[in-house]
Amino acid sequence: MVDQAQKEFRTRDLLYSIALWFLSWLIPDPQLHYRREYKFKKRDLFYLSAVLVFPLIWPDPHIHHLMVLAGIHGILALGLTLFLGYAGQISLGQAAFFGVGAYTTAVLTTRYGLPSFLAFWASAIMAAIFALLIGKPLLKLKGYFLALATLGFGEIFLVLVRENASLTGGVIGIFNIPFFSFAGFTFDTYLKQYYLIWGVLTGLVLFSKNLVRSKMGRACLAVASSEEGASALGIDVAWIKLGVFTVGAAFAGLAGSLFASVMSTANPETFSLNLSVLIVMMVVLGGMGNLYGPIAGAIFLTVLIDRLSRYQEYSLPLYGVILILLLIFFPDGIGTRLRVRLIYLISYFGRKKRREKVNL
Amino acid sequence: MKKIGWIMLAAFMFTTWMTPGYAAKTSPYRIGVNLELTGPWAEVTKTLKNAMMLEVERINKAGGIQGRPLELIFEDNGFEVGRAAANMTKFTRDKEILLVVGPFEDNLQATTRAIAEREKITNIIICPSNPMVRDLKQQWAFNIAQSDIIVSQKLVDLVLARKYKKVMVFHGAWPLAQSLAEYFKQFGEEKGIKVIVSPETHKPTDIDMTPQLTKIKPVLEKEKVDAFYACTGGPPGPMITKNLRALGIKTPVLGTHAFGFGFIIALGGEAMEGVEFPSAKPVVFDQLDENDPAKPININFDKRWRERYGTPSDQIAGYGYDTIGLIEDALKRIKGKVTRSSFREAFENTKGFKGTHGIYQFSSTGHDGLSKKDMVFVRIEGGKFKRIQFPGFD
Repeated sequence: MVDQAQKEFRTRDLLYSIALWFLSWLIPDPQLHYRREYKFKKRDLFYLSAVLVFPLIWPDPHIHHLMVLAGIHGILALGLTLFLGYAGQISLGQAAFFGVGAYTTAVLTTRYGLPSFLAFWASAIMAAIFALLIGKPLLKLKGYFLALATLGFGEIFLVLVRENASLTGGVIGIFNIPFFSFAGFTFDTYLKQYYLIWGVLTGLVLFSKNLVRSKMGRACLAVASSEEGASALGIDVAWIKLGVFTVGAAFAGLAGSLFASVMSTANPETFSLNLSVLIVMMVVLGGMGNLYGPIAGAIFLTVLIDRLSRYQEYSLPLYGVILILLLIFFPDGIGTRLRVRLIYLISYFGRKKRREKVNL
Repeated sequence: MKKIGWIMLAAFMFTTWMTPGYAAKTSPYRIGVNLELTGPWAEVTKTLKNAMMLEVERINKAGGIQGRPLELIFEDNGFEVGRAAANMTKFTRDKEILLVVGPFEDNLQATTRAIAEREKITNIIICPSNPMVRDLKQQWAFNIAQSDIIVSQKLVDLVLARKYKKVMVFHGAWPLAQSLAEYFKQFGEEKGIKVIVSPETHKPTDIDMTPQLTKIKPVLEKEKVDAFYACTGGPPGPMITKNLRALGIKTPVLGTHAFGFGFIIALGGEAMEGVEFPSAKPVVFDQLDENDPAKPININFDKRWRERYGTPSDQIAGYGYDTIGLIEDALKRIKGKVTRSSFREAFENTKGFKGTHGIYQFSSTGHDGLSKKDMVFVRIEGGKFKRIQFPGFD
């Protein structure tokens, strides 16, 4: 009876498989990095065209603004996922590198009148230098100790910013940072900023895709699974960790530079622990083992927080409850488990019908 | 049966389609409110929100402004720059929204002010303090509260009246406290007072100031300082006074206008006796002069506040009252179509609006409403705020 019920073909099964086929386009594949080489696939083209077309089919400045913020968070989360998701190390200091980038742009453009295009690259370099300097001693630590040490770096950065009032403006911060401009073209509306930031993000995703499939990316995965094993294979563990940490910090520096020019302010309150935790949350919620997951997490959390704003003082409890529920039902992240969950959901009704048949 | 369903649907669609045209005459004036309803400022902004809602209810009960009610639309920004800016764009995009109130804290104001200038919408700021923000050329942003310049000038008056020669400043590490300290030093030195700004600072989250004060103590004793200025706000105020007294320092303590809350005395207890500060009028509204226009307004507002919320009103609630009052006043003066720009014109031409804090005057060059006359001196005596007066300094 059971076997017969399962073999029986029904027309609505066709409907389910169409839905599944469509889903396979949309949802990132968690197994991607096990494949030998990477080719530009239909899915990537789909994402790219979605990013390009989205603001045109939804011409709402507020949504553009939200997506600008989501893109900045996405760059931060992408930088962190290389370190957290691929190399298996935890860092709570991402906000500090973000701050280094923002302050580099702020100081260079307002105090020294440098063009923002140069300041943009200087921010990445500055953040990378900071990461090299502190990463050398810090990355000898493991697990919780590394988390604590990076947390400490975040706090030290805030103290440095608050106390060096002559350079950073102290607690008051820096205002009137000009918009990003390149070759006489100023990114002054949210639509232009959207394309700027998502363009940068696309470039960084391509970079990360190649990085993950390079020798270094493979070494990262080896380090994440076992440091001793990796070093036995001849991988320079310390160097790999430092390299990924620096790349992640450079990403954060770029994001910081963009944030400073979009918001036109740099203020120590922005780069506190809250932001670091939010970014870790984006990476964890989005899914650690892939590159699109953290970006999905960044978009999701940014939009969620904005939607919750209307609930005023209840926004925080609601936010907490939603996060807890998501982590219970999607423990591997919304980007990773979504495929499995949706397959389960779609097949659920079919199975239910079948169960009833069997019982009768 | 199906046919009836279709007819009802059509009728429903028809009526909903008709509604906007019908409702246009009485559609409310919408006001966006962008506040830190969660995070470290949640308590303060809640008071502000309650006060604004109380006032809007009163206006709407009385039939609104020229038949149109007011409507407040609240958005929480969680004390984050990005969210405050996103809320601001959300409001500016919504064509129904006439103006935006907030954010409260000055860290978030620079960005929203820039958006207000760009998108041409009035942005009313409750608590202006940031000197760099004030330097920006502002057309669309207006400030409600007493600025740090006024508070510092009033405090210098207090020091002169008390004939103190040397004052030690111990300020907090946030923009308002820092600029208060800087202006006090500037104005004090113009009047011949020696001001020593302590290199030690404190954060709003510090619950014990003994380490900093132990370092300051030798300086206090060596320089024979006449008064100690606790340039801070919130819980650190009573903490500083308590720790000072515990260390055996008897120097008189001066405070800022942020000392005028009931919880300050409750936290500080005995140690708060004798603390003096320049204060906003709602703190001691029952002790104001008989001819002061703020007195009856405060008494009336306090009565309504107690009826509704069961607690005494405070100066933050007063800001809420004044904000809505100013908006109502400006809306009433608009002749012709109410738009964002005509509202701004009307608001800028506010002359002599009487609120709980005093008399508001705006002009094209001055977007700070209050002046030094709208502050009084207050001393804490017997666990209560007591107004003190000095001849020639009021």
